[in-house]
Order: sequence, then C-alpha cells, then structure tokens
Amino acid sequence: MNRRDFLARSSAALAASTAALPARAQAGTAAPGAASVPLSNPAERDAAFRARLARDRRMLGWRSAPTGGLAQQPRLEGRWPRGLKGSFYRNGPGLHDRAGQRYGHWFDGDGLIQHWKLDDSGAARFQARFVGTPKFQAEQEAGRFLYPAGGGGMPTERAMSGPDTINPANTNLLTLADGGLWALWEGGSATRLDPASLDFGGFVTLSRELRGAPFSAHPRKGADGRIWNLGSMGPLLALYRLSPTGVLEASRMHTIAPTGMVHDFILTSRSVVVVLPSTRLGNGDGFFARVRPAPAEPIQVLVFDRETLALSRRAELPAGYVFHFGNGWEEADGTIRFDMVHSANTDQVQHLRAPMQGEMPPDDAARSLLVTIAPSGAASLSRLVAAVEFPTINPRRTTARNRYLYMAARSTAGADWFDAVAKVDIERGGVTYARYGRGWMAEEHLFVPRPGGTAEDDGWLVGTALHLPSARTALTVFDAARPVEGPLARLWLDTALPLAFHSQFVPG
Amino acid sequence: MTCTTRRLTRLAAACTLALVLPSLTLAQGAPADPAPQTAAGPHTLTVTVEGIETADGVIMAGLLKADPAGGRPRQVGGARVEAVAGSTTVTFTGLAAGDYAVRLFHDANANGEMETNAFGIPLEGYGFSNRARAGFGPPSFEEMKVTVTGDTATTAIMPY
Repeated sequence: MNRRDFLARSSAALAASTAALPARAQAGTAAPGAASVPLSNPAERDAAFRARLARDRRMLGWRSAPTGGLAQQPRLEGRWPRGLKGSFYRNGPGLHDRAGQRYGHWFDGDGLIQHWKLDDSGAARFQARFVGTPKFQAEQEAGRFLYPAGGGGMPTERAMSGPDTINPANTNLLTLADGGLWALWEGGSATRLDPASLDFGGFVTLSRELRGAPFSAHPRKGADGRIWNLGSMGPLLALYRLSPTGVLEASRMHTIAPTGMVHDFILTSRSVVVVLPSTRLGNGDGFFARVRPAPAEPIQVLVFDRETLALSRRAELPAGYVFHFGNGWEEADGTIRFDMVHSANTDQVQHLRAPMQGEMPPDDAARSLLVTIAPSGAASLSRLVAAVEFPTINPRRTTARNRYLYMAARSTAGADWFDAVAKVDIERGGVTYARYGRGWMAEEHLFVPRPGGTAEDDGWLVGTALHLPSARTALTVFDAARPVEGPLARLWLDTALPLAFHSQFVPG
Repeated sequence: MTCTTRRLTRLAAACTLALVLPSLTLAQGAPADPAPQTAAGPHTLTVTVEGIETADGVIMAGLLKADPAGGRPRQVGGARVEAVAGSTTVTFTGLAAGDYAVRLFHDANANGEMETNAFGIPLEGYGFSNRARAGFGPPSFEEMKVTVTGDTATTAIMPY
C-alpha cells in the first residue's frame, strides 16, 4: 500500500469509527470546529470573561488564583488508603489577568504550583504558589502585565531578550533522582524550584549553547532513570538526554516541518518517537495564532535512536492534532507501539483560546488510538476509546509494554468537560470508568503504585477536579483495580483553583 | 555533544517565531574607531545606550537609513565603543537629514559576533534606537526610527 492509499484508508476507517461512537464523543457546547472569533483586546476579553463567570460556574476553571498563593489544611472525606503518602505536585496557568487585562490563550498564564502533601493518616497539607519567575516578579511589582504573550493583544511595555523573558513555567514538573524539582514550560528553559517551599531557584542552563533553549514539558524517564526530552522552535528540533539528576549528557539538533508546537513525545527502550501534528506556522498576532491548521498534511512520525539521537525511521499518520501520549514500547523486531490522543480537528490550539473570553472550548472529539509503526515505517491504527485526554500509566511500566491506560474522560452524553477517569485495557479491550458524576470538571489523574504491589493496576488513581455546586477543588483517590466502585477518599479545599495541566507524584 | 550548524541557525532566523536578530551582526566589520562617517551631511545622531550589564567588551552599533524610494532600509554605518556598566553613548556624525535607525548589541567577549544559542536566540544584550523593544521578533524600522533634521538624540535600552 502506498502512502496515499494508507492515509486515505486510515482516514476513512477513523471517520467510520467516529461515526459509530456514542453521543458523548460529539458532546460539547459547540460542534467541533465551531469556535467564535477570538477577541484581540485584553480588556474586552476580561469583560467578556467576568460577565460569563457571574452566571456560569464552569468559568471558575479559568479564574485567576490569588497572587500570594494559598495554604490550607484540606478536609478529608472517606477513608484514606494506607500506604498512599508523598507529594502530589501539579502545575498549570493560574494567573490569567491583571489590572483588567486578560490573556488571549489558556496557555499564557503564570505557573501556579500545587503541592498536596499526602500523609498515611489522610491529614494532608496543601500549598499553592506562583513560580517566582523574573516575569512574574516584575509584573507583580508593576501590578500589571508588561510583556507580550502567546495569545496576542498584549502591550510590549518591556522588551524580550529571549523566550525566558516571558517564561511562565506553567505546564508540568520534572522530579529528579537527587530530590530536585523543575517546573516546565515548553518555549524556554526549565525552572528550578525548592521542593518544599516552591521558591524559584533560577532557570536551568543545560549548556552554553543551550542557554535559554526550549525544553519541553513532557520529559520521559527510561527504566534506568535517565531523562530524555525535546525542544522545538520553528524548523528546529533539539533532542536532549540527561542524567537522572538532570545533567545534560547529549543533545542533537534536527530540522523539522515548522508545525509550531511539539508538545510531547514517546520514549521506548531504544527510540525517541516524535510526532509532528498537522499544523504549520503562519502569521498572526501572538504565537498561538500562528499555529495554523494544515489538514492536508499528514501527521509525521520521526523515530530517533535514543542513544545517538540520530534519525532512524519515518512514518506518516492521518492528519490531525496530537498533544499527548501515555506510553510506548518497542518489540524485538523493532516494531514500535504507542497510544496517542488524536483529534481529526487540526485547530485545537486555537480552540483553547475560548475560556479567556468566557466560552467553553469546543469539543474536538479527541480519542485515544493505538499506533503501530513497523520496522519498515508502515503504520497502522486502532481505536482505544473516545472523548479522552491526559493519558497516564503505571510509571513502573514506562517504555515497557503496558496493559492499562488511564485518561480523563467525558463518560456521559452531553458532558462538556471530563467527568470521569477511563481505564482502558489495551490487551483485552474494554473500558471502565471511575465516575465523578454531574457537576464536576475532572482533570488529569496519575496512577500511583501501591507500595509493594506488583500487578500493573495495583495502585490508586489520584487527581484533582473542580466541584461546581460548592465552587471548590478536591483531590480524589480511586482504586485503580476497581475504578467503577467510585472514590475511596477525597480531600477538599475551601476554594476553587484554576484548572491546571499536569502532575507528578513523589512517594515518601 | 553535537552542536547546531550555522545553516540551522539561519533556518531558525527565517522562522517568524524565533527571537532572532540576524541583522545585528551587520555591525561586524565596522571600523574600530567610534563615529564612523556615513553619507555626507552636517548632522549628528547621539544614541544613549542604557541598561548595559557589565563593562566587558564593546557595544557594537549598526546605522540604518530609510530608502526614500521605499525599498528596504540599508546599513549605512557602524560604530564600536567600549562597554561601560550602566550607560554610554554612541555618536554618528556627518549625517544628511533623513530617517535612520540604530541596532546595537553588547559584544561582551569582543569577538565581533553576537553570540546565539543553538536556536539562534541571542545570548548577549541587544537594543534599538527610539527605545524600541523586541517582542516575538525584532521591532520594525518604523518602531526604531529617528528622524534627523539637525543634531538629534535617541535612547536604546539593552535587555539581556
């Protein structure tokens, strides 16, 4: 089968499978692709957001947190599972507006780090602090935004000397073997944090040639603890390999199609697999407006040797947009398999502007697919589950074949946000849900292995969600082996936090 | 470690996202003496450079002049002065009346080039006349523009 035939057949198969999906796959406040025109004026965005917030509690998910942060003792509901103790860290944009000016994209806000210190007894402590980047400190002092942002429309009161001038450190975290903690963005450097106080400890310089270079928000660890990551800017892609304590061991530059964002990748026991979505950098006000849909372009898969960081294989997949992958592995003959959350809609980056002007993002009908790349580069796809995002697995299975995959999911018809965590059995098929029920906006959930456990699903699903009726955020624990039984325990804050992106768990 | 090549850096420079200022290196090859002469005329343009981090190396400046025919601005002069922590001045003399712009960088290691990282992002401070600021790319000529009709002063701020 040649490339065109493959793409045509795969696209047709995917379209057919989508048509057969239950109603939830099409759920949402707007049809896929039906986003309203972004407002370019930061004051108009703020006014539109506040008007909607006054009558729609879902907008609490994009309300700014207090700039001084929060410290609380959460209230326990239910019975805390023995053995579940450690630090659950979370990162996401927490400050979307200052002085009546609101950013134009969800991805722009300053990073708010949540630290849920979990104790065996259930007596948890909670702290949230903004990352004290130079940008945050300067704007905090000025009482207003000073720098341009990816969503556009912001005045440039002060000059940028490079991406780190506006680095909000707002997407994910990386935990290191020596106890170090980094906050991650993807347009610039990683940021050192004090794991206890969350104090800003400066940007990480991997080497002189890489000072200020993009370091993406989804580094992956091999079984030996070494860390791989990428950084991309326009037509350049850097691959990095770091020691378990975060010291650069190797890097290599490659040229790629300028897709705009390369958010995540897959690590196997031998390879780094980079997936380039069907977008191309064009023109527009602010970086995100430049990430234009290119539905005629197939997704490109680039396979690199993870030791030499040299390109070893290429493949193509049907057009679409991809943010995240759960896991990937490589078989003895070189066949690579991985899961990806794929949307046929290539306008996803634009759609995530909507909450900044008081609108729910349109449902892009993202679904999880299992991708197989043969040693020849031939690719095939099968559908795992619809209406999902934020895939995670048992971290002990990273780069090895995993049976289970967990994702935030829209489990009921009409849900306009994630209301469950899906547990997918990749080997035998089938999906079960840990459900939140109505009135919740669920976020990413991590799998935390039970100490001493050996079965792949022997552990807990731990994640946050926004409870709309009480306008509070809670951390909920489910038994990963029996998600349908519902929550085991829940820790309640007394306020709503803005929705965040990614979490990391450190046992202990 | 495998480093980037110059070709890759130029590719990054062509990308609208990259915060690159390739033309700043136009100051390379400028005479070592300050105040080089450009098109004959009676006027002086003095650039006060603020925010210089250290006294290491030199400040390199390139003078651009608008094309009255509407073409791209051309580099018509260059200057190099010792760096001074805080503030210093760069002066262009003998200018005819017209619209000019100045681009500067702090060549802290005095190697004649603006250092960049593997993505072409500047690693040395840089600035522009008329207090123009870089956002997701260098400012336009209009933003940097200084109209010289007599002896004229402008200011450039150097972020690092």
